Amino acid sequence: MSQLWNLLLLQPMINGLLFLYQLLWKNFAFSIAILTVLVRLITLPLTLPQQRSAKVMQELEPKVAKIRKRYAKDRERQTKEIMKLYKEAGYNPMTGCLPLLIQFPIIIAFYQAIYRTLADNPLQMLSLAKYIYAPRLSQLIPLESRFLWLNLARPDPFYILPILVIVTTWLSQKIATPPSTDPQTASMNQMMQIYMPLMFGLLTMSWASGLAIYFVVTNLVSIIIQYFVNKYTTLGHKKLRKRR
Amino acid sequence: MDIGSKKITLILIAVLLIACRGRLPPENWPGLTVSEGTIYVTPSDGKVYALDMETGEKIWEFPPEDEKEIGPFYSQPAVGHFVFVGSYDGKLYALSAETGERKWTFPTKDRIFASPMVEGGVIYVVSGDHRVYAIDADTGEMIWVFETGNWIWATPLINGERLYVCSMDHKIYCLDRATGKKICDFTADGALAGKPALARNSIYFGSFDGKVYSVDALNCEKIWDFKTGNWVWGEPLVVGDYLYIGSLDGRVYCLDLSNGEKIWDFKTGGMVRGGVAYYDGTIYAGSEDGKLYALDANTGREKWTFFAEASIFSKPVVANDTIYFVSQDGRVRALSARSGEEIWAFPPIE
Repeated sequence: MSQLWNLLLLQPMINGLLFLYQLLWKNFAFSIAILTVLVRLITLPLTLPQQRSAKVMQELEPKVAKIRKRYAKDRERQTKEIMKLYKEAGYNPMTGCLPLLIQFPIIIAFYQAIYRTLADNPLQMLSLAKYIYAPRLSQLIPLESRFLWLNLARPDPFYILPILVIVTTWLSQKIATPPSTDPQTASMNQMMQIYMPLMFGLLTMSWASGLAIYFVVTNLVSIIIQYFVNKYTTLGHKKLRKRR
Repeated sequence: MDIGSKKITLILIAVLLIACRGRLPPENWPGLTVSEGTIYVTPSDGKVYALDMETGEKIWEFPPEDEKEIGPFYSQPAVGHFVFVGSYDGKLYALSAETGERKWTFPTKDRIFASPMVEGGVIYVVSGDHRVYAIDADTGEMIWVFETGNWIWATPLINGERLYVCSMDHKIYCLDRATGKKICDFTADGALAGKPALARNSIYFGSFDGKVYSVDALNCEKIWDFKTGNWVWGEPLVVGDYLYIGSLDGRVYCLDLSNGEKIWDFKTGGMVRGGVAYYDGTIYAGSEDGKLYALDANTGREKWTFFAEASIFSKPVVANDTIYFVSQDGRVRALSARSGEEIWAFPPIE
């Protein structure tokens, strides 16, 4: 299993980072940023349904609220009518988390790739030797890990990146989560919007700053994609218009 | 996203955070030195031990049990006036060889991975701060310092009044030992992480470009190079007209010293990171596959192997018909150099 992981995910990412490092004036921060954008573009078919679903939910919310009100005393009927509404709208509630399930291995592999490529002690360097395809890329080792005030292999000493991670994660959550009239959903949304940014921000305080750059860039990409999704996605379904 | 999806998201985030946990503590890389009946070793537990060479019994440990742990210690100890060992905390420690008592420390600005080199009352230590320091071995006072372009992970080599330093900036430097002034340098195509070797006015060393190099010891001009299948990290060993070296491609190579032509190679089951040892017609090499190999020095034919159950990344040492090595699990072993039979192990195997 681990060989498959290395072959399909980890090794291509490590070599991708090294290749970009060679192209981008031996700047590892740029390599992380560009590879993040490329990975997000490649996984766009998987993540777009999730980001569209937020917009669709926003449009369906008033109708869902009406159904909840109408069948307040009949939970079973309420659920049945809501699921029917989703089906007519072509909305699948599971689209919220399935793309995330698929993205997770990519995120974990990217994390491992950044750490391995920034090897700064002999045992880590030894491990890196197994992953590099071409001798030409070996000539880049060790990488220049300094970028502005940062050592990309170490946490940000001034906590600027963790703050950026908190802010961009919050923004990304905010733009992707429509307001809800259901108290339980609203409460869960609020919790996500507070705790998730804080959690990531706190963790990036102890992670290599290269990884924090990955999180900031991936959040910015999410925000941009969500902006265009919100602008251009509508339901436009005949049956739903009739339901109004 | 509905509530169910949000709950799943939170669980997945928790999994992600566990999978992407913050950096693990650095792992040690054991080193071993034999001197006057005593083995000095830095295994995986962050300490330095002195062991009796015959029995493996512990003589002392540093720091003592009641003191806070220092390290971990990556570098192999060097023995001169005192026992000198560099640490992950960036300090060079001078310890009494008899008792392990700390005599002095010298701070550098980054971690020390390489073993220091002692000669003529001066100790030469290299550091991750890109510098090589010359220090008075008795007092710990700095004599001079020379800065390279990147980390230095390789023990320097002394040749008369010259000092050779391999740096991760892809260069080997030849310095004046008294003043630290640069005499010449040579640039390879990859980082240099292993200690060089000297023979017949030539310097031999391996590189992360996969090559073994021979350069002139006086003017640093290249004489020849030999390409292996992966990085070359270990210290070359010169015996007679031959050079022996391991590569991360898993092979031990025997090369002609004069022109770098391959005489033979032997494939192990994993990377050969450390240097090799020689005794009575036999080459000894440790491998990532957990085995210590004994090979015929003339033909490369395998004589015997010993399975240590953990990778061997350090160079073995031969003394008194016995081969000593430390594996990645921190266990020190003494084997018969002829048969490979185990004589003792520290800590003892229960």
